[in-house]
Amino acid sequence: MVLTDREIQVALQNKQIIIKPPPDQSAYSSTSLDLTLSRVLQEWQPAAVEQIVCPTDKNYKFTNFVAKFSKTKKMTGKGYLLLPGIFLLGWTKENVELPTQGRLAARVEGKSSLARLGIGIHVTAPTIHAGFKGPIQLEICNHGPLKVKLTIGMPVCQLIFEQTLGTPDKGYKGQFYGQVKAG
Amino acid sequence: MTVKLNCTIAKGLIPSEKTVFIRRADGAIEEVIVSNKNLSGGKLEASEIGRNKNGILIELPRESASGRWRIWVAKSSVGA
Repeated sequence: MVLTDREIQVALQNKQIIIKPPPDQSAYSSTSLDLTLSRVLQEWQPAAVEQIVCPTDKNYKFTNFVAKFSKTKKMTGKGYLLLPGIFLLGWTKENVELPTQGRLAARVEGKSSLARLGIGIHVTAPTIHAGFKGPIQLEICNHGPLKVKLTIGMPVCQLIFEQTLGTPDKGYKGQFYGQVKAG
Repeated sequence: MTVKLNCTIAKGLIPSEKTVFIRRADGAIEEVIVSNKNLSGGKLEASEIGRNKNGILIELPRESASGRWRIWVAKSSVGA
């Protein structure tokens, strides 16, 4: 079940959702909550496209690859011009925490204001699982033909909160705690 | 509660839509593409979420071009 604005606010009061800094009233819609873009972007360097990446290679380490072939950009007040075809990583300004016992998960989704300009903000990995803590990483891509300026604090994505059926193993402390299936 | 917002109306991308421009409480203009059905008597139908001494918090029928669903408007921008 998707939470409405009122239920999101109740969940925030009950610490089933923790968001810092707390969202402004204007960040809600009827069934979602907008998050904003932080100043940090991770930009791939031209040499990265010459590489072959094999995520299943036993020597592959994403963090090493990022360290070698990308550069951290800190946006200034002038923003960042996202050119057509460019893909980079960004993060939300807000830290989000979904305690495992809160019986909530979330999906990060794009916003129509950006989608109509060709900007996607995640690449098929929208789930914010119960137990998640931290800023949300965004996989930002300009699929369109336009040069689009990103700015610090712009509404960049929305969270849709959903109720889970039960508590996952990692947050479970009930009478069946510690039991595992035989075999 | 549904309220009617003063706005400037221009044509939309397709015949069933219009582009509306709404003045926020801080003076900035918000652009929203809406269905013709969101308009009534030359005003935009929107939902009142709350109010304070400075204005009224409105939820727009669609996300604005700047990415906002909710904006503060002056009380004078809202009709019955």
